[in-house]
Parts: sequence; C-alpha cells; structure tokens
Amino acid sequence: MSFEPGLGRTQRWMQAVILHPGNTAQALSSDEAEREVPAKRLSEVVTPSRMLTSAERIGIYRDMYMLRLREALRTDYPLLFRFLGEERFEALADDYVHACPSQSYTLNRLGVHLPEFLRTAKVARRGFLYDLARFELAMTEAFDAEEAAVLSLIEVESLSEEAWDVMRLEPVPALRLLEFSYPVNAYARAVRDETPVPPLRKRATYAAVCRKDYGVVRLELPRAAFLLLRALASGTPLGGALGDPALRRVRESDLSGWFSQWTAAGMFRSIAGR
Amino acid sequence: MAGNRWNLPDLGFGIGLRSVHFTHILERRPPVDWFEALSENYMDTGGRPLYVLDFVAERYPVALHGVSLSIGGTDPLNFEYLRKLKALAGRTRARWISDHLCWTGVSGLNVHDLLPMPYTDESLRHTAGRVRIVQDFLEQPIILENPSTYLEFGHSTWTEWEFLAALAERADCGILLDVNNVYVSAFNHGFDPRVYLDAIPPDRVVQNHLAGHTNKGTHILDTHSDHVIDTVWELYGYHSRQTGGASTLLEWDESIPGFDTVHAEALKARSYREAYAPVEEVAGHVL
Repeated sequence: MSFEPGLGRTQRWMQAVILHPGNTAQALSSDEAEREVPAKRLSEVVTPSRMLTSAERIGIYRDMYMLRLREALRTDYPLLFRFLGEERFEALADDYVHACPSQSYTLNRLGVHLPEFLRTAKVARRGFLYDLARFELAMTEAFDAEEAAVLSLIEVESLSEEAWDVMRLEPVPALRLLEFSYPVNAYARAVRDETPVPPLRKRATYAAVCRKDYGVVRLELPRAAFLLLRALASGTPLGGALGDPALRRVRESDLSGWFSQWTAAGMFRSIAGR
Repeated sequence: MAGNRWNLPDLGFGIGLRSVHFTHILERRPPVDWFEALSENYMDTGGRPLYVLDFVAERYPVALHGVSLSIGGTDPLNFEYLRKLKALAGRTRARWISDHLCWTGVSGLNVHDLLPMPYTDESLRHTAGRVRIVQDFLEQPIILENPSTYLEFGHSTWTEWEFLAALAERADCGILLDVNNVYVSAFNHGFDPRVYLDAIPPDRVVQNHLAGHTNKGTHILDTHSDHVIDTVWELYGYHSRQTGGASTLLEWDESIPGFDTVHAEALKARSYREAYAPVEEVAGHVL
C-alpha cells in the first residue's frame, strides 16, 4: 500500500528534515521527522530523479537553508564575521539558527536574538562578542527605524534656562544608547579605517547609534555624556538630569559641545512641554 | 491576441529593484520600463530602502513581488503580513502583487525558502481557499509564480502545470510564469518544458520572470546569478507567442553586475518576443 501523508503532515516532515542539525540521514531518522514519515518510506514520499536519490533531493533544501541563513546573519553582523573569521562565524551561525529558528516572515529579523544567544554561548571572547553583536544589532535597528524630522542646534539653543527645567527632548526613533564592557566602537573604527585593532581589554565604553540622511551614525561617548543623553532620551528635563551626582562636574562648555554633536547627528525630533 | 482577463497592462521589460543599484537609479534615473520590488524588503523599514522605493514609485510603474505569503502552507494566514503588504501596495500604487505557489514554513517557523507542495486534490482545495481569502483581503487578484523545485512528491496526483492551471481557474487568480523556473524544474524532474507552457491558460498570465541559474550537473539551482541561457530565451519566445506578450521582468540576485548589464539583459527579451510574434493574416494577406 502506498504511503500518502496529507498536506500538513508532509510539510511538518519536510520542515523537520530541513531544520535538523547534522547530516541528511540523521535528519531523516530524527524523532521529529520519523513522527511524520518513517525514514524507510522516504522514496515513496520523495521520488528519486534520474541522477539523485530521494535523500539527495531533500538534501538540496537542507543545504540551501543553511547557506541562506548564514548569509543573512553575515549581512547583519559584518564585524562579528570579521572578528571570528569564516569558519568560526559559520559554526556560531549554525548553532544560533538551530537554537533560534526564524519565526518571522522576514529574514531581516533573523539575527535579533543573536546578542542574547551569545551572552550564554560557549565561545571564546564571549563578553566582547556579546557587546559587538549588540552594537551591530543597534546599527541594523537604526538603519530601519522610522524616519523623522530632526531638531537643529539653533532650536535647542533658543530655549531659555527656565525652559530647560520642564521641557523634554524627544529622541528620534533611530537613536540607540549602548553601554559596553569592551571597546567595541574602537574596534569598529579600526576595521573601517583599516588601522591596527586596539587592545580589546575589558573597560567600560559608551556609544550612541543614530541615523542621518539615511546613513547610520555612531558616536563614542564619555560616561557623563552617555548618562545625560540617556536621561534626556528617557524624558527627563535637562535641569533634572543635571541633578544626577554623576554629572556634577559637567561644565557649560561640555554641554555646548555635546549638544552641538548630538543635534548634528540628528538625535532629537522635538521638544515636548513648551 | 495579447492581454489578460483583468486587463492588467503590459508594462514592457523591467528589472528587479536591488539595493546595489540604488545609487545608480537615484542619480541617473535610467529609462527602465518598470521595476519589481521584493515586498518583504520594504514592509518593515522606514529607512533608505523605503525612501528609494518611494522615489522609484513616483517615477516608474512598480509591481510588488513577495516570498513569504506561504499560500500553500498549513499554518493560518498571517494577517499582520497581509495588512503591511496591502499598505505598501497602496503607498507605491503597485500595479499588482505577486508571490509563489509554495509554502515557507509551518508550526510558527519560517524556512525562508519556496518549498514545493504535493500536488493533490487536498492541496488544491486548501490553496484555492486561501487564495480567495487573500484576494478578498487585498481587494485585488494575486498573481502566483511557479517555483523552481528540486524534488517531487510520490503522492502527487497532478503535474505542476495541471495544478497551477486548475488553481488559477478555481481561485480566479493570475499567473506569473517564470520561464527559467519551468526550465529548471523540467531539468530536475525530466519533463518537457513546452508541455508545461502549453498547459498554462494564456489569459491568466499577467507577468513573466526570466533569470539565470546554476547547472550542477545532477540538478539545476535557481540562483539568479547569471545571464539567461539561450534555451530559456527560446522558451520565453515560444511562451510569448501563446500569451501575446506579458510584462516581463529580469531577476538577478547573486553576483549582481552593474545596472546597465542587468538592464541590457532584460531588454533582450524584446527581440525574442518579436521574433516569435505570430504572423497576422488579414483577408488572406500576410502582414
């Protein structure tokens, strides 16, 4: 009697075979696949061609699956690829894809869980890789964020001192503020400028990622600037933010320089509360 | 006799909108008949891709082409996806929306591939029902493309061409006939591509795709990585005689050359269509 699985069963089986790690034979005899189609009945479900066995034919889909997903991750994480090299990156990508298979209709979201995956992954330089992945994910998010008109420095400077106590700066959707345990921005800069990579020793660093004229901008920030920017972006008025004891030593000239840099990078979209 | 039953226009000879060509298009505004945009690349971004698509849609006819509808899938239809697709179609004034006769994943997962279906009565009923739902939601016919496939199911009771033609009739949808895909599947499964083309109802064909592929010896992969081969051009000419000519689109997705090379490849289609155009007879005179 011929074996005729229904549509749903056929699809669950084929997906189980494609997604299973290891080789095709292991995939065909995995519990998930066997539950739908016994491996011994393979040739009834997938017919052999003139030149390929049934296993080789479904193996084409397995191979293409991994190639496609590795490529998508490589596109989203070029610095991670650069740091790890092809072989180690592929091993990481394979482990990640098997642990976090895509649940979205778009490949653009495939890598969103990679930083969290790296946080507990068994890889050398895990802390640095975790920071680097967060940095690259922030850049991808900034690239795709909703476009917004931005505030100019003149508009910000036109606010009176009293106004700063109550008014809030609304950040653009692209703005991402990041706190790292490693100098990932220095690494990114060295790669971009093709200069020697600095020592990647553990030390706190801070960055902002934003978008200007549809291009992603990244800024390394001093700790005080990061704290102030984070407070402002979360809706705290400037006056209140400067009350933070960690910002007591901030000078007027620091503020002027920072706001000049932040508005040039297009970090704020509006002033609320005026 | 040219034309499809919806009177959707023959847009001429277009190319797929790809990010490597964005700068060229923005700066040169090349004289291209039309562009096809991959829906999923623009549905979830507010950045440069959407800016470029808006620029293109203001200046050229645009059609949307998706890879994630999963019309043959057994998971519920994704209405969040459909809502975004409909909004994008409205924003770009898309001439039509196409996707593939395939499924892309089940149990909440996505394989991101155009996976083949068993061509059975059950599949036909299931898919036709989903096509009708999607068309009602989008308020327009959807145009389904024949995929390249690398395996066949032993329990299929229809050929792919019979299935596609029957689906188009039963669900009242259009067909995007990818001539290269017909050739690829014909090689992989050992059928005559002209038998496939002969079975496709010409008035359902809204669009054609053309692309290059990679011949691995034992099978062909639909890689969109090269020029269209001569045999596929000949099949395109043969098919165009049947349809009278439909909007034609050249896809190039791997090792993408410069814009002018891709555009020149698309324009080759014009000569093949003309070479295969039927000789018209009027009152006994050959024109």
